[in-house]
Amino acid sequence: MRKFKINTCKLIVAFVLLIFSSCEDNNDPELLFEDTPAVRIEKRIAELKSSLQSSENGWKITYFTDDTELGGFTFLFDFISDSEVLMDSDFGTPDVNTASLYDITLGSTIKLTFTTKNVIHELSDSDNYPDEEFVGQGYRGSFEFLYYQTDGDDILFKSNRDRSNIIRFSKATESDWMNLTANNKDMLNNYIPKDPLKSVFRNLILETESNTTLYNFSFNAPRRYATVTAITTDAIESDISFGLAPTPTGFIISPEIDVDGVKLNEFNYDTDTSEFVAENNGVKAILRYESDLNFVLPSYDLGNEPNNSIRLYSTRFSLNDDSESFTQFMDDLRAFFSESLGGRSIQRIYVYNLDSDEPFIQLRYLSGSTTYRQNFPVTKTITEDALGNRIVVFTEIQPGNTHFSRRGFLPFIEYLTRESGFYIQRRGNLNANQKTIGLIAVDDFTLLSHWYDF
Amino acid sequence: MKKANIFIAVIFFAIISACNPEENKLTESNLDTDTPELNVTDSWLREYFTIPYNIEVNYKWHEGRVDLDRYLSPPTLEKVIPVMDIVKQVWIDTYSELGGENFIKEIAPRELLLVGGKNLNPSGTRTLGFAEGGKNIVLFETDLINVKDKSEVTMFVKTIQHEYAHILNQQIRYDEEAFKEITPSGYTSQWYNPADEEERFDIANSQGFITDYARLNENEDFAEMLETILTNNAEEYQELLDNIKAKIISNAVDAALENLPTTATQDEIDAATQGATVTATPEAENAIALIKAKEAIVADYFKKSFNIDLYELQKLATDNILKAIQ
Repeated sequence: MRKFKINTCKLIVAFVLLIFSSCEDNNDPELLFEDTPAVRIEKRIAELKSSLQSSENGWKITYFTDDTELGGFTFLFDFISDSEVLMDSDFGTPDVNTASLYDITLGSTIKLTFTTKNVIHELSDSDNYPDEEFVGQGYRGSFEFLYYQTDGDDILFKSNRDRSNIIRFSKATESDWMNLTANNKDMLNNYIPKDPLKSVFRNLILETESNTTLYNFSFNAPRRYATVTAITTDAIESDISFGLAPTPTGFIISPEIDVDGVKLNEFNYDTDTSEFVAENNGVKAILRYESDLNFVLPSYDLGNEPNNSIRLYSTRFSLNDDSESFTQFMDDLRAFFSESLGGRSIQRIYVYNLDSDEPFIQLRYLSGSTTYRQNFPVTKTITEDALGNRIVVFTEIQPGNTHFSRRGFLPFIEYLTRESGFYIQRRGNLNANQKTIGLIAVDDFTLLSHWYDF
Repeated sequence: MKKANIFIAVIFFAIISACNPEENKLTESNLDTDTPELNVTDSWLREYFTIPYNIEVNYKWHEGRVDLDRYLSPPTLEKVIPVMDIVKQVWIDTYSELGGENFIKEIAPRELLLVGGKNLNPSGTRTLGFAEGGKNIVLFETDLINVKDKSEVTMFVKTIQHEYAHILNQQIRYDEEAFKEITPSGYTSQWYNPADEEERFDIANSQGFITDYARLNENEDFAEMLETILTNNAEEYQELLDNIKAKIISNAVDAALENLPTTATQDEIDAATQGATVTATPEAENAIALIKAKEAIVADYFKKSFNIDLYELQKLATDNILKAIQ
């Protein structure tokens, strides 16, 4: 057997090599960035602070706090120092001259916090809410914004309460501070809500090259939210409700209307037509007062329902949905009646026997402490328009009832026996037990009266 | 052999020099360690709360200091000093004058947290304040107080007096056993039922509790007693007890009259009234006696634990409310 001989020198050399190489440091994490995390965070904070202060006229945001139920609120911020900010808004009660404090700190990421109260906190005040459903939640707003990224000149933040909600800070201009919030409020208060003196039908029409879809539009001003549901029966999207934020020229919406990838989010007001229009790439949305009935109303088969008499709603309940014009007409009628008839007053108005060919309008009025009634016989004709909407025309049977009360009641007889007649619309029930019917004058869409059957 | 020595020397050198990375020199912190600038409010709070009493007053919003699920907001900057001045005069100055300058320094929450708006629960009830582990007290609605209005200021001060009672109790125990035995069966976690506040107070008062919330447990009972005493002067407090008594009797009379048939004669009505009064009077007196028994334990606690006369404290605390609103 050959003896294995160890050469001491070689062994020592090998050992030395081993020692030298043993401390080769190859476990250090690779530095992906130039600086350590702590330095980078501090840098980002400083960056954000200086960019917020760098905009000469500050910033503006339109903040949709929760676009499933609420609209958008526009704020202007002017970061006047490392700690102070001035604000204006089209919401709440801003005081543009009093600074509040802000800070940029590290939360779950770098965030901007408005640390003492200013108008933006009115969105997050548990006791300041649009209606009872929001008690304890205010307008579900946040006043802490997580720094997300920059996009051109804009800075994007995420709401600290809802991280999927991205809020865009854009540079404001001098004129924004002069009139943006006032113009927004003007739009919000005077143009976006339904004009009570215009047609009771206000619809949103969505037009593409191939089809047109009609939607009911109902605006809840305190929430800044529009419920938009399809009238067209085969609509692709039956509910496109959205939150709405006023702009000086109209409003923007969230969520956007999306028609096969074409998005609409900005509506502009046309003073000539009183319409709001949004248009993009061949898709158009128009919010307008209808002067023609180009859609089908929920139907009520007057004369063929189980109940065949109706009473004017406002002669029983103060809460009703009559149009402004009709309410005004009734106020005038009551005043005229009393004036013409020595203080007598209208109590109730009915139309009886609608299932017969000769129904009658019944007036009940109070004289002293006694109620009297007078009937005014009419004929009833029901026709349908091209879409199948029913129109009722009442005509007074001559010679008419010449009782002296006719003198005071004449405006109402004339109203109800107008030549054009009335569209009959089944309305949402205003009280639990009876069906509610709307009569809309065919020749004047501002006149909507409510009746209930019995 | 010589060669071997050289090799050994080389190895030795190699070992000691092998793992000697150069140490980085200590440089300035990467974090921003500058002292934050103090505004007027910060300086005021430092001067009157932090330096003398080691109490930090936080008015700037800090996520995580309050319940995130709530919709709360910080106070308006300009309203912080006026409100904290009330706190100082009515709470700190009162205890300092009678308990000595070090009283609040030694026993105090280390933090007061201010929230500007209401803490409204979706059910419509609202929380006015709370204390956590004796370390901090959260005060709500600081933006809403009119600092010149006695009843609003009193309402606000109640929160502090109440929470401070807990903090005192955590430092030195009161005779819980004896206190609990006064109205042992009245305590309930359902103190907030029924919904009607007046009804709740009627139930609580008739059972010997000063307020509805006092029914939660003996500690709240104690705090409610102290709070009531320190926010009503001697006359107002006596009037409050007299009213409790009168209300118990009048409720009994109302109940008796309700049971009478509608045809009852005046004599029958008079008789029912008198009967109910006779029965209810000892009950009412008993309720007051129970409250007074609790009051005695509170007074005894202050005397023995802190050598403070409760009634002197009451006078000073209520006088200081009047002073603060001037």
